[in-house]
Amino acid sequence: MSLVTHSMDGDSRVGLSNGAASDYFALLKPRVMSLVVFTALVGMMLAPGLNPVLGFAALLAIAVGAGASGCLNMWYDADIDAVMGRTAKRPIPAGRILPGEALAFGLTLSIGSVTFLGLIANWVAASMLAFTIFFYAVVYSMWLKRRTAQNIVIGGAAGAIPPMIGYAAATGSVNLDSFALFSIIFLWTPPHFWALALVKSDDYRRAGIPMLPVVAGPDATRLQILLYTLVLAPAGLAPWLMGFGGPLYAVVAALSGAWMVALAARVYRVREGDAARKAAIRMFLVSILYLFLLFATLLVEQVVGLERLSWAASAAARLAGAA
Amino acid sequence: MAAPEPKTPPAPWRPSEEDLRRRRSRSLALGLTLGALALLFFIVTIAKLGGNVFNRAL
Repeated sequence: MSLVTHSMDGDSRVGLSNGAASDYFALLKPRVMSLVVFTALVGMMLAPGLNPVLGFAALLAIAVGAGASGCLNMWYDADIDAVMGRTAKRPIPAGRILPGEALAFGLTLSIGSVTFLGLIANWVAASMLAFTIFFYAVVYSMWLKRRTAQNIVIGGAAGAIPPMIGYAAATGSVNLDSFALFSIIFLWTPPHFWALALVKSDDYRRAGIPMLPVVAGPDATRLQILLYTLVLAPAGLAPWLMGFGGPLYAVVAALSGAWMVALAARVYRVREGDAARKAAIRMFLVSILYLFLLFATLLVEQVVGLERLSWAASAAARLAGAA
Repeated sequence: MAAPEPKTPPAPWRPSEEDLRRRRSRSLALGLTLGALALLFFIVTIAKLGGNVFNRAL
């Protein structure tokens, strides 16, 4: 956030930094950050013996790390953001923040958040946060995004890791439960983004981004959305099957999973005109609600203690009683 | 031949009201962030020390 800045594009003008605080905040992709915080919190709540103060500080570090990776992504993607309607008003393409400022801001927050998480929690969680930032900023943004239609399939791993970081921050290790949460977000990412890409495919084509609808066409994308959703819906039941989701979670995951499959089937079936566009937008919006419902239910069960009513806990109690 | 007229220096740049508003918002955000970080480091230090803070020779 230096006052005097130099442009990175070869323009040697010296100017005054023109961004407001809200522009720097926008660089952190606050909506993505809130999803990361929420999923990391659920991962953290699965861990036994969590210190609330250190847990809060660890969540803050994870949030800032996620924001830093978003900032580095905006720095690298400023050229394509400028030609896409959805992103043209971001601070760098709009000229309110110079690319060099965003790079410095992102790197500073990356180093700061990883170091802070390592010092207050442990270096396993800090390493995972550093890997996530690297994966999103370098592997996804710089390497995959402009080269392959599988960009968001592989890159989705970056957005799926936060529950594992949350668990690791509380325990110093990862377990299968947190990996199950990773898998749900990982499988959720492609149908979620491809539903948006179906609607915004002209934008992506103009920017030269090889999103699936641009490369393989809308029909192939519709099939992929349906296939991924058919895998996602049963995967959403994993927390219940593995015993850390209770009966409420089972009901919510089954009903919302069925809703997702129905929407994906509609996206697959309705291919022409405004109805097709509406189906894709509905799929995109409901997918956000779906992920929120799954994680919110897990959180509520952990807080209220409903997860003790899971079949695994009941079976363990019966075994203990028999012994 | 007439002597060339001395060039007048360009008018010094003055920030507009909008520039000043943005600068104020940056300064305020930086100040609040630094204050919050100092408080956070203090609270986290106490939380990590826990009961050990009393476990020393007085």
